[in-house]
Amino acid sequence: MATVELRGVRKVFGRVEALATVDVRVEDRSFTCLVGPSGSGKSTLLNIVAGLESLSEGQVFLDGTDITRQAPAERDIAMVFQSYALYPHMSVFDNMAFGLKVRKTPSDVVRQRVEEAASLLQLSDLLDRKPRQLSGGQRQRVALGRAITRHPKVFLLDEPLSNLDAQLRFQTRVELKLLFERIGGTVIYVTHDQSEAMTLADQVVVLDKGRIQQMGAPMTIYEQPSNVFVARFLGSPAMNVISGRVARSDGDGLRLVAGALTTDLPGERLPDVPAGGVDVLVGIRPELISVAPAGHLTWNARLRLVESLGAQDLLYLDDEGQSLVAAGPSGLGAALGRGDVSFDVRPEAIHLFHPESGDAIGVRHRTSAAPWTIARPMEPDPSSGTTDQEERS
Amino acid sequence: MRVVSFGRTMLRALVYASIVAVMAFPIYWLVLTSLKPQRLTQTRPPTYWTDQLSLGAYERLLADPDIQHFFINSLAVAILATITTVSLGSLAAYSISRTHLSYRVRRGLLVWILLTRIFPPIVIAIPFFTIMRSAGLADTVLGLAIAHVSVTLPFVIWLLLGFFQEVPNELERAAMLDGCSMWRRFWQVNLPLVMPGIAVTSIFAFIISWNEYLFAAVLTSFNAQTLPVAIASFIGERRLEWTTMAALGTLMLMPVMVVALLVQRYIVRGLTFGAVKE
Ligand SMILES: Nc1ncnc2c1ncn2[C@@H]1O[C@H](COP(=O)(O)OP(=O)(O)OP(=O)(O)O)[C@@H](O)[C@H]1O
Ligand SMILES: [Mg+2]
Repeated sequence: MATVELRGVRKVFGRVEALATVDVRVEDRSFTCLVGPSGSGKSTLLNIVAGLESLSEGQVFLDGTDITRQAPAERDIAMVFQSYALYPHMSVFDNMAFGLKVRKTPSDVVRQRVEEAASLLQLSDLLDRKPRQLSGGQRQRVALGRAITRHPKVFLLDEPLSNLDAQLRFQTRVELKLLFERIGGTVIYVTHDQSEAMTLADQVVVLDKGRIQQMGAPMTIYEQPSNVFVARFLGSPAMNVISGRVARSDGDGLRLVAGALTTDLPGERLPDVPAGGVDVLVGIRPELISVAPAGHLTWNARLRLVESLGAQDLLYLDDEGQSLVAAGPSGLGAALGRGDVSFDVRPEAIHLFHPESGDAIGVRHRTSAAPWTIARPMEPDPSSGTTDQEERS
Repeated sequence: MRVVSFGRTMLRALVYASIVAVMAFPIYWLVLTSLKPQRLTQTRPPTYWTDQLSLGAYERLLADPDIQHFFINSLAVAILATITTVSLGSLAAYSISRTHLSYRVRRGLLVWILLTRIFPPIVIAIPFFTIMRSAGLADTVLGLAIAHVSVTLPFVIWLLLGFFQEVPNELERAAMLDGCSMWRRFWQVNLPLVMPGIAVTSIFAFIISWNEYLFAAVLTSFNAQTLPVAIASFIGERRLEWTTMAALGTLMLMPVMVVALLVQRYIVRGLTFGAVKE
């Protein structure tokens, strides 16, 4: 059992407010990802849980016990550092055994735990090496091993994959997920890579400028971002945000105008719209915009640029001066050619944000089916159309 | 790869050779003088080489119980001063490097540590003399060693501070989470990593104490007298015993050379520590 809870935690460095009154709860055996841009306070938050940083205000609880004043050594918490921080003068075995030896564990238990972790992480052949004789990926596994051997209540990982190259990172990400599922640990994982957060986490905490922007299951945050920052931070390519205006149309209905994009929204989407209408920010995920040759779909735009990513084509559209990115199946860009095209977005896929605060406004329901199931005017190859958008629906 | 021409290589060799010659010649001269007969030590032109060499001066010195006594004093003072300096210095450097101090406090502390070194040693020697006498430490090995520590400690703290700061803070943090007390972090995590620095500073402290003359002259008379004072005492009223002095000088060089050779491996690493990121 290990739940971690931060209540009203605030941290100030001199004049810099690194964390501004943060409340987080991490459930037992769950995987929580802290994401946010550089300097958003992710490491500070992690260090506070570890006890490596004092806090200016608030309390930290581990299993309901207040541990705010406990030294790091007294908390049963292990941490994997971004730089791994392996002891350079100790062998791999001693690195993994150190924490146990310090805690006066009998030597046969130490040996057994280290060997267990080593075989789990495929380090059994490397136990006699020194850290400098290891590759980056191996060092990273030793750092994990050092955390695992101790059987701590909570694992803290601060960007553990950021020193690995893209391919190894991808592979290790999967292994990490499986590893922690197997050992059933409570994990708090810091990353600034949103895709890591989306794939690994049970709970994502999005931080920006020391404030929690949103917290919840990855898909909930993805589908119902609470503000423009979160909307654009999660998801790749990032959500389009253009400016538009909502006005009352006849009866209860609403009419949204954003360049050529003109659509009716049900009245309950945005209650209290004044008679003259309001300015809004309109958010649309690139993969929920369908594009077809001019005349096939509702609105017209110009196709300025196509980027082919292999599995996907990114289409850069010009919607009366505002740019929109659409993601379509590969080959779509070549089939369309530059110039006039038409596009479509379903009303449920449209997010509305307040133009000044950036907060989500109105009521939105869960986005359902992908656009390609509704409008497929010219799908080039049915097999390449099965991207993750369909799985998501 | 750069192609280095033969001419350049020769030039470089020449430069190195002359540097070595300039540094080695006094030592050659010292050793030669110690082996010469007394009458050849003051010739004009100087005698650069002679085959009338003898170990007579050494035999006389090594058989002299007073010289043995001074030699043991020197060794005892230097070892005591070195161990004390490095123990205190590493603890001080570690705590300064790991404590969260504001920039101003930290700088103040470091300048204050060095401040003790800006006074001319003779100014401190006099109060030291009265302090040692009232503490009953005048003319004792311990008293002189304490005086030497006051000279070596500030330098050693400054030198070691650089080495401790090279140890990444995350190692310290990892050790905290592994459950280490501060003492264990110092002993098992930091100290093994600053061994090159400990080696460099030890030999540094040893040499300073071994060579130190002024405090030794003021604070000791016979019981704790050291070799530098003994050598100087050969500059008698009647005549200068060049051969004996040179032989004693050569004997004084030996322990330093031995220590330097023993820790050479660390010194080279120590002097380049931090220059190359691992
Ligand atoms: N020891 C410190 N002294 C002063 N300011 C600090 C200190 N540590 C962090 N900060 C500041 O606190 C803020 C949050 O830093 P933090 O390291 O938590 O960011 P982060 O989200 O981990 O960023 P990154 O992704 O770059 O690691 C930053 O503005 C940083 O400059
Ligand atoms: Mg960080």
